[in-house]
Amino acid sequence: MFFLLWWMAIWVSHKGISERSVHIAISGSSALLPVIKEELPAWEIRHPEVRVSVTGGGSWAGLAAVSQRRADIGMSDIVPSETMARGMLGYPLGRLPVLFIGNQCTGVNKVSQPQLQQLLAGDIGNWRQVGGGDTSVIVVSRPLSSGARFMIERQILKGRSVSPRAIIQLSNGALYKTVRGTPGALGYVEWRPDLKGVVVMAVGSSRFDRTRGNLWPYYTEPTLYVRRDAPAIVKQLAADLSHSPAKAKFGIYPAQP
Amino acid sequence: MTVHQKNLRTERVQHALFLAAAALLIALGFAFWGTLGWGALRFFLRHGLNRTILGLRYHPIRGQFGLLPFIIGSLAVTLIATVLAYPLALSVAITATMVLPRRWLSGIRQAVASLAAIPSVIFGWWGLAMVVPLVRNLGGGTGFSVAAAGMVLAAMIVPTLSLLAIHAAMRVPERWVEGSLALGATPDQTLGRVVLRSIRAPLVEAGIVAVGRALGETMAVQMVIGGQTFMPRSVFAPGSTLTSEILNDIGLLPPGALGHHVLDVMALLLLLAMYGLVLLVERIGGREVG
Repeated sequence: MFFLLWWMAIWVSHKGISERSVHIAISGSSALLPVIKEELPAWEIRHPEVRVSVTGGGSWAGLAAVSQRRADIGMSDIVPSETMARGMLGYPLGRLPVLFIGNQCTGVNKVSQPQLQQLLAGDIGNWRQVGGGDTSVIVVSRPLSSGARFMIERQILKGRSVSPRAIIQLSNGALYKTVRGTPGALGYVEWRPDLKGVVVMAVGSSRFDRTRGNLWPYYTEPTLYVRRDAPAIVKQLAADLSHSPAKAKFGIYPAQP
Repeated sequence: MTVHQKNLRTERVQHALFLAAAALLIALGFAFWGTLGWGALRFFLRHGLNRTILGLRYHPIRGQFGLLPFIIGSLAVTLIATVLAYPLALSVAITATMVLPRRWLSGIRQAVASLAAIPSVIFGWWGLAMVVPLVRNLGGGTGFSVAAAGMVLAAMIVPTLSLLAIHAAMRVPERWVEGSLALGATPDQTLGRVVLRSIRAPLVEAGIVAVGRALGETMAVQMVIGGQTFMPRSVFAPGSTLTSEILNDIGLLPPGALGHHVLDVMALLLLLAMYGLVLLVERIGGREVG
């Protein structure tokens, strides 16, 4: 019985190797998983000799995995360091808007960029200070590994950190749910079509319009990274995924209007 | 080849297989301890043992790696969960085995077992919707807190603890209970002096298993504890545990990244705590019931 099972295992793995000889591993930002998973089945049908596996783990992990040859394609909305970028090719997908959402009881739907900076850094502690109700500001943030947080700290906070008293949620979904259910909460999410029950804040003169999402000034630039010496099929997969028509469905807008 | 020879050969093959499986398991264990231990040792040599274990500030990007807030967070959450869950689980076990008709027992066990199988992320979502607002009303603040994490964990470990307590209570011979009642003891006296006393050891063992489950839980805790890296000022303040912080930082500190080995240290601390609990269970489990 044991030998039969052993023989079957060898036969199956041998068959697997002979028919699907290439394995490509994709790893990184969980924000890109839906787009990649939407496009992959059709791509795999067109390339039956290739097997593709996809895992999340975050933008930093994706970049590290590619540079250390633990993955072939890294999904990241964080710009790699100069040293790291030298050995890599990037295939940008477009712009993924990052929206600032507030709980409905804040009484505020518009802030200036300096106000937003102070709110996110924890310098403003009450919504009354920006024209809202008498409610404490509760900042809800993503962990340090998040690409959206990286953009916020670089572009809005100009190198400062998000409030150290911020509530940390791992995913876009959990952050959205937390802001919706916590009086006085302010957070940021990568755009998703089902944002209801929260106030999407206008910042300065910019108001998010989903029909012209690429004009919104706060966005991450999700990119697929491959090593320069990667096989042609890996580069082809990255290029094909970066041109996927599914991008629009998941809120990724073309870089140029 | 005779039947006897065939049997001997089969036995030899089985013996070799089991030996190989056991050796593989032991090797995996050593590899696990070795990898974490080596990573932790390198980290301690660079950053110092005391500064890591007793340090109060944690910001891996700035090179601050104090883990005390997470150690305290883990202990506080586990303590709250156990204190809340234990009496509840004991009540379930006593009600199921001694109060309700015997024919209900199987149904109750199945229902409790199905609760024990709920994935932790579901408890996390439930915690966000129900427990966080409740804690906000009780203690003020945001509701994301050590208390909320303890309450969610309590709900998670009650089914496991109840099942273990039910199994323990079922081991008490019927004649002991009947004998106690026949001698004139009240049902309460019988419960306290006969039933609970005779299953004290398995109940303590069940409690330790539940503590282990609470200490190791990650996802549900991360969703409701708030994720702040400071020492929590009260049980109603946000905090973090060793497991929830590993989850938060695993994307930031992948293998090869500067500071990655702090995750090895956190994992090693958890492993040591779990090992301590296992030793405790073995010690208590080794005693005779009663």
